[in-house]
Amino acid sequence: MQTNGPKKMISPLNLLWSGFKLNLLHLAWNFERLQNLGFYFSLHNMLRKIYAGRTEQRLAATRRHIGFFNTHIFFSTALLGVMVRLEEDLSDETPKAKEMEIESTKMGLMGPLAAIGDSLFWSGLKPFSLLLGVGIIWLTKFTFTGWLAGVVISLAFYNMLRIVIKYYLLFKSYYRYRELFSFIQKVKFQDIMKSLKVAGMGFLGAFTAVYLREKQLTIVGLRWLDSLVLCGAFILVIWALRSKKSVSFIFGASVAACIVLAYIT
Amino acid sequence: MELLLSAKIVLAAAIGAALELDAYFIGMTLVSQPIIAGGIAGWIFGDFFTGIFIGSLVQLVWISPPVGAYVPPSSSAIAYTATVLCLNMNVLFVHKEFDALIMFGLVIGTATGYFVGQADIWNRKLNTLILHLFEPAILKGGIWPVLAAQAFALAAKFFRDAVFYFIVFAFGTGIAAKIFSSLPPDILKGLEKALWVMPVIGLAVIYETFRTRMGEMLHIALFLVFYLVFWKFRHVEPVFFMLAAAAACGVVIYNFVWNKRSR
Repeated sequence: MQTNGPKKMISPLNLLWSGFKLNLLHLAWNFERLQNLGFYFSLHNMLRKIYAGRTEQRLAATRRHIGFFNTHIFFSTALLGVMVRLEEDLSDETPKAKEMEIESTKMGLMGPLAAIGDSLFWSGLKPFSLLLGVGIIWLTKFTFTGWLAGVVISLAFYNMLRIVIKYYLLFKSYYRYRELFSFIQKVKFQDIMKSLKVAGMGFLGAFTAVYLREKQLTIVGLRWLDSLVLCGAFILVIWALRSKKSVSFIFGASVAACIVLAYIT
Repeated sequence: MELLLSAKIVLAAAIGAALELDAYFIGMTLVSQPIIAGGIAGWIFGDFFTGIFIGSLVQLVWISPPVGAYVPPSSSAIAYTATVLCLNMNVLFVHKEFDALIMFGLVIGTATGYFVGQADIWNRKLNTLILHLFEPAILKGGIWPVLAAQAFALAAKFFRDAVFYFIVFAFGTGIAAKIFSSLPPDILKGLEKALWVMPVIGLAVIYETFRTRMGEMLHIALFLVFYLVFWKFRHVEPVFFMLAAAAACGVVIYNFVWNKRSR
């Protein structure tokens, strides 16, 4: 595939601005083409720069990028960087070949990035950050200072990582887009996920100990018996979760069971 | 039907709608999460403690990610609505059974959360129409049709949530308070007990979310150590606690996850 002559450099500021606009990736999410509007919106300023004075090519790029798009919001910067580089580098002399190359690269990257992002963020970083926050709030007995500390630590932990990953991928994919695949392969996502899960379990064990020690348990009135009832309820909920019952179902069933128990006792 | 109308209700509706935007549509920075939403609702209505407490409970229970195509209830809406309803019901009818009131608020909040989650599907269908409306102009290359489409989508989501919250807070509080007042004592007792069970549900959900074999062993070890420490010393120093737990987790992770690979 031929590349264009002198490279038109997109400035780091252009990249940063486009990356920032990706915060609106989900704003106009629709069932037909999913995140297409959000992605095109973030790409628009760079397409204008790349195709300055070449309206036909810019409109062709618009048609390309208003199509289907779906990936993880924080990993979409990787795709943004790659798409911009391809739009810049690939020759316009063979528009059909350029279109196919860009489309196939986009389709090839969307899925894997979405899978990585979903496990890393939604199953790992997000619940872990929130667990830290809730734990601090409970430890400090729901004071304002404790709440503030919990919220700040939770948000800082999550958002710092989010921003670093997002913009690192953006610049990496733009300046070194050929190395993107090998870079992603080198990152030990499985070990990172395992670390988050182990840390989550560790903190949970410690928080559970504090909860049991400090909670005024008043089901039966005897601490050891109330602890047993608590353990029994814990095991029951675990069993329900492993039986694929939704959390809301368990919530409703717990309320109903407690009301029935109140009538019986 | 009693109408609860005040500047606070309008403010609460607007802030709730703004928070909902962060849940999925803008940023996803966790600012909309229940621990924050509950705190903000508690601050608006003058009872920070209850707001933080409700927010923490909801956060624990609804912390895990949704699976597949299942549309989960909005946990932010659950915490926010539960706090607002609970605090306003407590003002209208001063109750001794505050625990039962919180639990009742959570039940209504859960229903609200489901509605908000499902209503997001309607917004996404509307966005499909918005896309078709603006697409011819977008294909001509201008930025303004894109901005307009985004603005329409934003306005639709915000105003839908703001109006919904306003209706629930202004009209729903009176109705909910009347229902609560008419509940028999046994149901109130049951609701109190259910509030006690809520943290257990949350702990179990988190356990299942993070469960690994190594994690389970660390969980039991730290549970026993900290239980004994607090049984002996009675007082929890939060900073010491966090540092100790972090150190223990760090040692295990370094030795059994990362170092294991490099041997």
